[in-house]
Amino acid sequence: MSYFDEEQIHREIIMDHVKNPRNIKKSNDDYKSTYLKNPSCGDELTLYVLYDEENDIVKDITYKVSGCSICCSSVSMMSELLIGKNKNQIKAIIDNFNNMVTGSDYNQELLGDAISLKGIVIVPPRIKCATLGYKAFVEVMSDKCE
Amino acid sequence: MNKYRKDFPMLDKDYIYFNNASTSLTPTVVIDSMVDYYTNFGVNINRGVDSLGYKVTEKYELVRSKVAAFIGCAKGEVIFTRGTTDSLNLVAQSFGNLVINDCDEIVVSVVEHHANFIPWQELCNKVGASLVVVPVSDDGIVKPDDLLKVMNNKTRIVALNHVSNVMGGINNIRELAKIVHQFNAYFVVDGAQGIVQEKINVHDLDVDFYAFSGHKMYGPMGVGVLFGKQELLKKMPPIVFGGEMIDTVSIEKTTYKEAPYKFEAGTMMIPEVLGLGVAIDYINNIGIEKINNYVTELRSYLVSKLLEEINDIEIYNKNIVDSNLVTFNIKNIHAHDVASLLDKEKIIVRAGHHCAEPYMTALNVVATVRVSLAFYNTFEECDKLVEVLKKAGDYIDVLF
Repeated sequence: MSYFDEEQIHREIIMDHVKNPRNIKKSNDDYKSTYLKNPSCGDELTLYVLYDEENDIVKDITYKVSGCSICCSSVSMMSELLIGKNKNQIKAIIDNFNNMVTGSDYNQELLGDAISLKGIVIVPPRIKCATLGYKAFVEVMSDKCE
Repeated sequence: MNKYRKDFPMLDKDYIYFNNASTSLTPTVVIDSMVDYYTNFGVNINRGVDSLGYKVTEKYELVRSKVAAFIGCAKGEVIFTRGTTDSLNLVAQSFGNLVINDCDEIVVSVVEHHANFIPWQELCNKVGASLVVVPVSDDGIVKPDDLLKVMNNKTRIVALNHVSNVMGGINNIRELAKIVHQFNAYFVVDGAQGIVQEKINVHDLDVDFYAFSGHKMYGPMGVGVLFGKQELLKKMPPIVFGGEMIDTVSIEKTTYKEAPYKFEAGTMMIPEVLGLGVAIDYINNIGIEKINNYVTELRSYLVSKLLEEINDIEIYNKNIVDSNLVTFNIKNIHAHDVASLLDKEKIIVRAGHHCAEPYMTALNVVATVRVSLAFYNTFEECDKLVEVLKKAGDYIDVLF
């Protein structure tokens, strides 16, 4: 695949997640949630995670987000990636995503649609947009927030 | 005005700099004056009897006189601070604490920068006073009639911007001051943007306090000014204590110097103050009116070109004529996506809430793009901005 084909596909993936965000639904009291924002730009995210502790599986993720295309698409992609995974699998995904956006080695097989955001590595000021969802997820799972 | 571009080393760097309302660029003469201080003086002011210290003290005090002449006040009414934020906090914490009681009201507008909003909100919370928010026109301007409607005999302080950093419209400070004083209240003006927009005379305008920063007027960062009327400064207690602001100190009691010195505790930002003096000379040499005539013309060119050529643009301050900034959004595109794309083309703008979240909420947007011009910007640079926006598709080019 040429660079231009890949670019076109990645553009389409990102814009598809912007226009058709995945996993938007109602949450209930079984979900744990947290609210995070990027104060300088106003990206805002409330992330809801339904985690089955007994079976160690993330059963569901939903969210309310407002922000730039990178922030919004990244949260949508993340929700697809993490639902159905256990803590170890998720840790590997998040580590790989963080490595991708900061320019370290990563395994693209683990990242699904989120691979389309690999260009973030050349725009460091936008790393915080792409990682807001993942930060929120880590915060929810650290049991800090209800 | 293109001949002045060579004065600014940052303009060699192949960037188009459109974020002047945040920080203006610094001319070589200002940079040189700070290098001169560290190279040839390097000592503190007001201390000891050495001749170097004496010379620096003279230079530092000469800047105070320059500032006084620049804004039309007495030398003793000029306090050097860290910037507009520091100046406004000083008024709120010292003067505000002195005059505000629990049943009083403080008036601010919804378009204030956080620096002229939070200090008053905090003061109100602390003493139990009420914060009253005066509405603004669609152009972000405080109309005298609207101010009149919120004033009453409980109003003690009115704190407004001279020029909004989001909308760029000029408030009629003289008219507003008349209303404030009619109710025996005090008028605090945030001049961070206004100081480069209009030639001012604080006594003519009859404001009680006027705050501004060096780094928005081609001067250094980390230095600013608070003007306060002499009789008010005299009553105000210092809020920072330490070296050089004292008269006598004993174990039982300390007395303080007169204003403005009682407000300048510890080692001051001497090179930055000296740089500010040079920035004032630099502005005076070109002429503030000439600067603003050019910038206004440039800005109206940019606004008409944007409206003509960019589909789906919403310019929030298009009806304002005397301004140096354009605040806009592209429909369905987040301001940061726009700014990031421009950044890729080496065009620096500001995107975000501009430290004015209450006004962003009032506009019902989370963020806007702001292009703010200075006299060293060119018509060609404006063309380039329009060209880049015109070519933009999904605004995520930055990733590829």
